[in-house]
Amino acid sequence: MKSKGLIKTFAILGLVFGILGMVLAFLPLGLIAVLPAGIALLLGILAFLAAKNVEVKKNLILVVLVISILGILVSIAKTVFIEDKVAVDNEFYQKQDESLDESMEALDELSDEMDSELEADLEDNESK
Amino acid sequence: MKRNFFLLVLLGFFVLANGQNVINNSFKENEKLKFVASYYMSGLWSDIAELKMEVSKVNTKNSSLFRLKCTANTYTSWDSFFKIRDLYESYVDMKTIKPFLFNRMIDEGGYVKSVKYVYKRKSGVVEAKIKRGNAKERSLDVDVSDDAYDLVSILYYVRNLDLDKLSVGQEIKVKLLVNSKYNVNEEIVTVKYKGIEKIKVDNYGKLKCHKLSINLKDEEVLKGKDSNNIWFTADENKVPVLIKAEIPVGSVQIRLVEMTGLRN
Repeated sequence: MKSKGLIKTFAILGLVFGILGMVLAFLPLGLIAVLPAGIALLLGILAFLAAKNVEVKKNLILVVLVISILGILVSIAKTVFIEDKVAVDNEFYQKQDESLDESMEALDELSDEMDSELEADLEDNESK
Repeated sequence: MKRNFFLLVLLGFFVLANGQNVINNSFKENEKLKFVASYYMSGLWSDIAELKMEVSKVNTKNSSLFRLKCTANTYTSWDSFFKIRDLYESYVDMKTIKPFLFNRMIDEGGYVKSVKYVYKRKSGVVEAKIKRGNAKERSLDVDVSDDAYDLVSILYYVRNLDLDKLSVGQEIKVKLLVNSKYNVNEEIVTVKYKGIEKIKVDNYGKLKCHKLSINLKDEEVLKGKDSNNIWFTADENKVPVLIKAEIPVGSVQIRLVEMTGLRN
C-alpha cells in the first residue's frame, strides 16, 4: 500500500513537471524547459522502477515518461534548428521612411540656423 | 518587460566627456553595426531582439548631415508575447557630431510613444514634441546647454573621445537630454573608466577593449552603481561591442555580432 502510494505520488508530481516542461518548451525561453522536463523524467523513472514488482497500472507513468522526453527533445531541437530572426515588417520600414521625410522638412526649415552653427563649430575646432 | 527597453539599451552606451568638442574620426557614412539583445530570466540568458545602428548621409537645402539611425526589433518567436519596434535617430554635424534633430518612436508591447527634439542652438533651446499613446501631442521649449546630446548622438560623440588618455577610476560627466512622461531635462551621466579588457566578440574573436561603467541618478532606468558596463574596441573606431546593464526587472546584455563599413 505504501509502495502504491509512493508510486502514485511520483507519477502525479512527474505529470505536473512534465506538463510544465511541455508548455515552456514551446515558449521562446531557450532551454529553460529542460529543467522541469528533466525532473519529470527522473520522477517517471523512479515511479517505473518502484512499480516493477507491484501490481499497479502503469499508464500514468508511461505518460509522464513520454511527455518529459518530448519536452526535452522539443526544447533542444528548437534551440539547435530554429534560428532567431527578425520578421520582415514593411509597416516599420515605412515608418522609418516617413520619419526621414518629416525630419528633412524640419531640417530644411532650420537651414539658416544650421549654416551659422556648422561654420562656428568648425572654426571652434580648427582653432583648438 | 519594462517599457522603454531600447531606451535603457542606448543609455548603456553612455559615456564621457566634459563638454569637449570633437572632430569625428571614428566612423563614416555606411557604417553598420548589428547587435543581439538578451534578457536574463530564471537562470538563463534568452536572445530576444536584434539591434541595428546605421550611419547615412543626408543633404538639406544648404548642408550635409549624418543620419544616425538605431532600430530594435524583437525576434519572431517573441513577437507574439511582447513585440518591440523601436526607432531612434539623430541628425548631426558630420564633423563635430552636434545634433540638430532627434526622433524617438517606440512601439513596445502595444505602448507607443514619440519624442522629437529640434535643437535651436542660437537661442539655447530645444523644441520638444511628445506624444504618448492616443493622447494629444504636447510641445515644450527646454533650455539646454550647447554640449547636451541626445541618446543617439552622444553615443557617436563618445566614440570620438580619446579613451586612451583616461586613467583607471577616472570619472567623466556628460550632459544628456532625458525625457520622462511629458518632461525633458538635462541630466548628468557619470562614466567611470575601468581599464582595458579582452572581450570575445561573435565572429571576430577576442578584441582588446576599453571598459566603462555608467551611472545615472534615475534608478527607474538603470539600477545600481558601477554595475552597468560597456566595452568599446581599443582602436580608432571605438566600436561598442558589449553592454551589460541592470534594469528594474532584471538584467540585459547586448553583444555585437556584425560590423561593416568601418572607417579605420
